[in-house]
Parts: sequence; C-alpha cells; structure tokens
Amino acid sequence: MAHTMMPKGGRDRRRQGLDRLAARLIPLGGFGVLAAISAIFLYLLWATLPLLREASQTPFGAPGVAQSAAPLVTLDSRGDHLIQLDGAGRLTLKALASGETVFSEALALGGAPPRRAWPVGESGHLYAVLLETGAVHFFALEFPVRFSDGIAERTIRLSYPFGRLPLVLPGGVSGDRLQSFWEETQLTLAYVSETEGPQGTATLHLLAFDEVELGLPLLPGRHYRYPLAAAPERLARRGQQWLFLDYGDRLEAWFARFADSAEPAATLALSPATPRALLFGGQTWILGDSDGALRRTFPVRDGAGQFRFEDARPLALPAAAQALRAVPGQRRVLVTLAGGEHRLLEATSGATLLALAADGPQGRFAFNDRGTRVARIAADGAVRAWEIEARHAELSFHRLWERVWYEGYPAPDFIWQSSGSGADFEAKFSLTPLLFGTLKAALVAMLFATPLALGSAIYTAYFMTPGLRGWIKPSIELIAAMPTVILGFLGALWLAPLIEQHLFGTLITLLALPGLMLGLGWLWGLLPPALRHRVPPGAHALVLMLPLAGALFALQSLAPALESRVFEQSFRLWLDARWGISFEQRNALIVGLVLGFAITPTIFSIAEDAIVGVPDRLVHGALALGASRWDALKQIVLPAASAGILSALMIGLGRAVGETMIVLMVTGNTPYLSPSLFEGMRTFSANIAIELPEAEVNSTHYRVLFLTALLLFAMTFLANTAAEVVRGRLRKRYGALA
Amino acid sequence: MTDIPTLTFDPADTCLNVEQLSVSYDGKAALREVSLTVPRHRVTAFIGPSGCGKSTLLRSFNRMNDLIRGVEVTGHIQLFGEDILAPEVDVTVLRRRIGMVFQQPNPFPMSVFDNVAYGLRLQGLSDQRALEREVEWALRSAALWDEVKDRLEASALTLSGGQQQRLVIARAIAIRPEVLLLDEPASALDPISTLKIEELIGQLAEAYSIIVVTHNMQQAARVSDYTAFLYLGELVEFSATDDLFTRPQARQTEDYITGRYG
Repeated sequence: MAHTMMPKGGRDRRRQGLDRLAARLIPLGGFGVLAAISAIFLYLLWATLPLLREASQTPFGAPGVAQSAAPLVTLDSRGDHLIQLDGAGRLTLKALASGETVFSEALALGGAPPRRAWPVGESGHLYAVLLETGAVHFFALEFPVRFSDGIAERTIRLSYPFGRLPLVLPGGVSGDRLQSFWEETQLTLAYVSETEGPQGTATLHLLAFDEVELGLPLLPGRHYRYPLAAAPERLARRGQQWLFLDYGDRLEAWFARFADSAEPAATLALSPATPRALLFGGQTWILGDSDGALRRTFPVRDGAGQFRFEDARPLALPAAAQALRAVPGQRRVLVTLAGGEHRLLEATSGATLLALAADGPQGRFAFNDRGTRVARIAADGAVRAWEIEARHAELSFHRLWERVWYEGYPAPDFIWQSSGSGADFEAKFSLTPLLFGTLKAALVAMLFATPLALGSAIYTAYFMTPGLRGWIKPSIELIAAMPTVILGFLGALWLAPLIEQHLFGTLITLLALPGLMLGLGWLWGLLPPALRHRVPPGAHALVLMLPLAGALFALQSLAPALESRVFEQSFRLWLDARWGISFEQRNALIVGLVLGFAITPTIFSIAEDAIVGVPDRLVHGALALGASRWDALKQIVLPAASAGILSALMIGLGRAVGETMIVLMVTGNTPYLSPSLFEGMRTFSANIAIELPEAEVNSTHYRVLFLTALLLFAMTFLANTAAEVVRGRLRKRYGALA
Repeated sequence: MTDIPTLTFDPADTCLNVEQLSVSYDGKAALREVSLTVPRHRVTAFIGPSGCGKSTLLRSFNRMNDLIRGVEVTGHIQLFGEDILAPEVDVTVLRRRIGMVFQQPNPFPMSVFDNVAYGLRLQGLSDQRALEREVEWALRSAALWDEVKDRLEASALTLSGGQQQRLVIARAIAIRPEVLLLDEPASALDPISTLKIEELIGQLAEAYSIIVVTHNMQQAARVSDYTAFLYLGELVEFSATDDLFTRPQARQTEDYITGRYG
C-alpha cells in the first residue's frame, strides 16, 4: 500500500470512466449545437446566394451563316435550332451546336413568296406567314422524341395545322400591318387595311377565331371593323389587355377585347425617332431617350377611371439607345446603343445579361423562349450564339425593398405577389411589407404581453404568498405548453368575430384596465387597516379580482349605450367616416391579444425566476435602512434582476418574431404595409409557411423565400446577440448575484 | 433560573427595555418571556448556541421578524421609552432609528458611494455636496475611507468581503441610527477582517448603542461591555461581560463558556 494512498475499487473506476465520458460528451454536445446552428445558417445562405449571382454569357455552338433579311430568323423554344424561312419559302433548320443543316423543305405556300413570318403566341410551335398576296398561312414545327434502339432522338416534324390553304383576310392587309395573338383556344388577328371612306383612310380589323385547335381547320371567325383617321405604322399586342397602334409620332392603347367604342383608351405622344419595343406581358413600352435613359411607360387607370400612360423608374444606359428589340417570353429588351454595341437588359432590374461588341445596327437577333440562348445574325449573315445564365436577374435591391411602380398599377408601391394566373405574370417580391408585418405583429404582441407578464412576474415573485405562488406559477407556465395552433384557432374563429362585434367595448376595456387596477389598489389603501390585515399579505390579488371583474362587466354592459351616444352609429362606421380607418376582422389588435397571450407565459416565467433569484439579503438590507417594500423593489430588486428581465423580454420578442401558427391564422395574411391596428399583416414566418410548399424549387420565388428565412434568422440572432451584450454588461454591473 | 439576577440600568442610560417578550414561528416558540434592558452607548453581546433565539431577539428590535410568515410576538419592547411593537408604529421610521448589519455582507449592486448614500437618499437627501459630506463621514467612521476614497464610483461588489462588511456598517451608520444591531457581523470573514470589524465596534460604541449577536465567545469577550446568554429561547444570564466569563452564575452559562456544548 506504499504506492497508493487510495486503493481503487471497481466503483471508483466506473465513476472515473463516467467522468471522462461526460467530459468528452458535454463539449461534443456543445459543438454539436453550434455546428447545427451554423449548418442551418450556411444552408440558408447557400440557397440564397445564387440571387446575387451576376448574369453570365458563354459563346455557344459553331459560327454559321443565315440571311439577315429573311422573312423569319428565329430559335426554337429550346434554343437548339436556328430556324430560317427565306424569301423563296424554303424552311431551313440548323443545329446551333454544330452549325449543320438538319432540315430543309420548301413550305407549301401555294407559290406566293412570304413577306414576313413570326411565331404565334409567346411559346409554342405555331408560326404565321404573311404572304406577298396579303393572305396568311400557318405552319407548325414540332420536335417529337423518337426512341430507336433505346436511344432517344429528337426529330423534326413540319405540319400545317389549319390546312394547306392560306387564310384570305377580308379587306386586305396594308403593308405588313398585321399582328396575331393566341391565347388558350382563341386566335386573334388584328390588321389594318387602307380604304377610302367618309370616316377616314384606314380600317382596323379584328378577326377572332374561337375554339382553335391544332390539326383542325379554323372555324369561321368573328370580324370587327373600326374606322381609323389614318393608318398606323405598326400594330403590337403581347397581352390580353391592350392592342397598341403605333403611328410613329404617337402610341394608342386600345382595349384588345373588342370594345364597343372605336376609341383608344390612352394616347402617348412621341418623337417619331424614338426607338421603342413592347415588353413581354404586353403592357410596358420601353422607349429610348436621347439622353441615354430607357423609359418604361404603361397605361394606368387613374382615380376617375380614365387611362393614361405613366412612366416607371427609367433605366440608365451608358449611351442613347439607337434601336430596341423585344424579347420573347421574358421581360427583357435588347438595346443597340449609339456606338453600335448591343446589350440585353433585364427590363425590371436593368441588369445587363449580355453585352456584344459593335457590329452595326443592322442584322437581327433570335431568342429561345426561355431566355437562355441568344443568336446574333449580323448584317453580313454571320451567326454567333450565346448561352445566358441569368435566372434571378430581375431581382435588385430596389425591387426587394423600395417602392416599385409595376405595370398597370396606379402608383409605385411595396407589393408582394409571388404568383399569378397567366404565363406573363410578373412576380412582385417586395420584402418591405413582410418585414413591416413581422415587426408590427411582434411589437403589438409585446405591447400587450410586456406589462402583463412583467407585472404578474413582479407580483408573483415579490408580493405573493408562497402558497399562492406555488400554484399560480405552474398554471401560467402551462399556458406556454398549449399548442399555438389552438390559440390561433380560437383567435381566428372565436375572438376575432367577437371583437368585431364588440370593438368599442374591447377598446375601452383595454384602455381602462390599467387605470382600473391602479384605482382599485388605491381604494384598497384607503380601507381601514383592521379590515386590510384580515387578508393575508400577498393574497390581495385574489380579493381584488372580484371587484375588478365586476367593474369590467359593468364597463362591457355600458359600452353599447356609450357607443351609440358618442358616435351616433357604430364605432367602426365612425372610424371609417371620420378618419378613413378601415376595419378588418383579422387585425393587429387580435394578433396582439393572441400572440401576446402566447408569449406572456415565457416572459413571465423567466422574469419571475430572475426576480426570485435576487437574494433576500439585499431586500433585507434595504428594508433595514428604512426602505419600504416598494422602494426595495424599485431600487434594488428590479435593477438586480434587470439582466434576467431583459432576457425574458428578448426571448419573448424572439418567439413573437418567429411565431408562425398564430400569425398564420389570425393576421389575415395580407401583405400590405399598414400601420393601422385594425388591419392585418403578413409576417415572414407565415409567408414562408404559406408559399414555400408551392414555390418551384430553385426558382427566384423559392430563393426569395429562403432570403426571408435568412432575414428572420438574422433578426432573431442579432436581437439575441444585442440582448446578450447588454445582459453581459448588466451582469458585470450587478456582479456575482444569484 | 429566576434566582439568577439580571442587570438593570438607570432609565437615562437605558436604550432598549424588553419586557416579557415571546416570539413564536408557526406556533413554535423561539423566545420565551425574555426581559432585559440594553444600556445606552455600550456594546451588548448576545451569545448562545444555535437556535437559542439570540437572532430572533435582535430582529425583534427593528421588527425584521415581521417579514417572516406565521410569526407571533407578545410582550413589549421600548426604545427610549416608546413602545415599538405597537401596530401603529411605522416600521420604516423605526428601522431608520435602529440600523442593522447582517451576517453575510450584503452591499447593493451599485457603486460604493451609492451604497452609503442609499439610506440618506431614502430620507430625501438629494443635495450632492451634503451627500458627499455624509458619505465621507460614514466611510471614515467605518474605517473604510482610506481604502475606497479613490474608487467611490466602483461597484461595491469589487470590494473584499471584509471591506464589504465595513461598507455595510458605513451604510447603516450613514443615517445616524440610535442603535446599531450587528448579527454575527464577522462570522463570514477572515481573521484579519474580523479584527478590523472588532476594532470598529469598539470605536463606534462611543456614539452608538450597539448590540452584537455572536457565536464566538472570545469575540463577545473582546468587544462587549455586557453579555446576555440565551439558551433554548430563554434568557439565562445577563451581566457585565467580565463577570459573565469569569464568574458565571448559572450552570448552563458555565457549561457553554467552557465549551461543553454549543
């Protein structure tokens, strides 16, 4: 026994082993938590970062040759082939990758040479050909996949879906003033014929075919005629709403849906030299300004119901635009600058997707309809192609945070509208109303929860009898265990309609409650001491509860009479009539009550622990110096517990910011920026819950939702860090207390 | 025990007069019919084993016992002839007259200066120069001034345990109470700090009536003029300190001071 003082039994060894295991496991657990949080953060960042990626252009395929003046030069929808229809009516397809001709056939045009051809509809395989005779012919190109020996091979099939006979247009087309629009099953042709008549020199024709189906002949169309004073130079239509007549010196917007009136809804005067292009969506015109800006102008309905052209924020250009070209399928515009340089711009954000060196203003561009490939056919016929990666190019700081004037809207605004019905829908991703809604919900909830939770924490911890505290505290904490979906459900289906009915009563109750409580406390102090001392100290709350409930009940009963006397009609009508404040059933008041109720137990519990944790000897020290209980509370207990109380508030705030179910159910989820207490909001968390399941993976929408998740994470992280810093200072100041 | 004579003092020299004081907690007696008089401007020590009621007696003087639930007090205590147990007595005023220092140093989590000024401010003193003068006086009286005069704005929690206890004494005497109650003031301190506190008690006795509760008989012998020995809630013996330690009258006193129990 000389070598060791303490012989080790098996038990000691086991204990040592457990100690060592714990010493390893505990840091591992800590690092595990850190790693999990970092991993969540990195994942959110990883899903968000592609939003910041700059657009890139890569040369693609082999150089080729095409006729830059051919009636049709375009790309197929995937961007694999360059499609060309030459003046003799021969259709040629060249593979962009190899430059080889993979298809060549003379179209059956009945011998008439084509004047111009164009794709019908924003995507699809239908093409229209305007013949020199003024008749219109249609052909379709399809790329069915054929399996031979297990290998998929794309083939090319040319067809004439409406038959081989050209469509003769009544009245005849003047020049190439013809325009087509195809949506679902309706094909509309708009064209201008020159006539001599008492009402003018030209006629606008609308020829509409219903129940159009590829492979079946066109049914007889409906034909509308509108006399025009003069023939416009061009017609343009890319959306449901507008048919634009371009006279060179002015643009006229006509209702495209066969309006009875033969009048333009809005007119914009222009210099004839202004380059112009109608953007995808068919509402916004991009106009080149001589000073190097691109105007974005669209018809907007004003307060009187009249339409006029309005300009959204212009895009800046390094030089004046010489020519503008519209791009299919995307809100993009191809700008040829004064120096001859070409740029493909995202028209919503102004981002440059493609920049090509000067090779003259002539020639043309061909795009596929996904916006991923561009071919440039120079004036001399040389063809070069690029692949563009610009998935999220329409986003910008301006779009996410500032007021944006979206086409068709009466004024710039913060709008979140991530999906719409049509293919030409423009997604609107303003985070400002969501951020505002998040903060509004959290702050209103804190406004309700803070006085309630801190007041009850102070009372329970400091004044209440231990016996009462023993069951009050767990009861309140039990509320925190209640699933928030139940609170949300109750709030939405029971509380919201109730408050809608008794708005005035609720409001005066909320306002009167603090005063009532103070008043009752004061009255209590006036009671004879003999009576007061019969209530055990700390049980006053129970005794005072009865008169408080009575007073509230009386207030509720008096409220309707008071309401009708003061406001003559209902308070809600008065609010609307006098202040223009509208009332929604799901509003910030309900959110404050329900969410506030949900976070109260959390704040209460932590704050109560902090106050209980202040050592009695400090209170006794103050009392021994002649302080009252109230003095000691204010001057000693609350400062000493301040770090814990701050934690309680920050954790409550964190819960309020991140809470999802309640806000999902009681806010109404209206993404409007409204500070009103009587209107709802949409929060980041509810927005993610609503939209993420529907968002296409890796789409801009999907990544913007991840961005909001990242913001939510950052908000709570920053708030907690700030609270931790303040808490650290408070702890330092109040030393090694508790 | 009735045969053990207790001391009485001339009314002019009496600070506290306790008559038939009984205190019980939830029906359990902690003090039984204790009667004694505490002299003015002297140091009186209460000794006795744990649970003998000496702290209860001390806390009856500034009615800190009121804070304990289920406490019942009968009998009388007079401070310079005034009944302090009467229900109409404002305890906050009473406690300003009877200061108290606790076993554990309990400086408030604020600066040294604010600690000492706390009681003064409670009394409504807000003039900064007057506060500074009073704080300096209190700290000098508590023999702490030289150690803290350059760090008055530092947190009181940065002081050592002994300094904290003298700070608490300074805080108590800053409001110039008539009586100072010390509840085992040195039991949580190291020997050097204890010595300083004991010296301080000796100095303060010139201006205050001091009552010390202590476990430590040597301490009682060193600092006090009079000593009361309590046992099981009863006052066994109260006499001049020298007498009590050299010629104990009661058997229990003798057993206790010779270390047979406690």
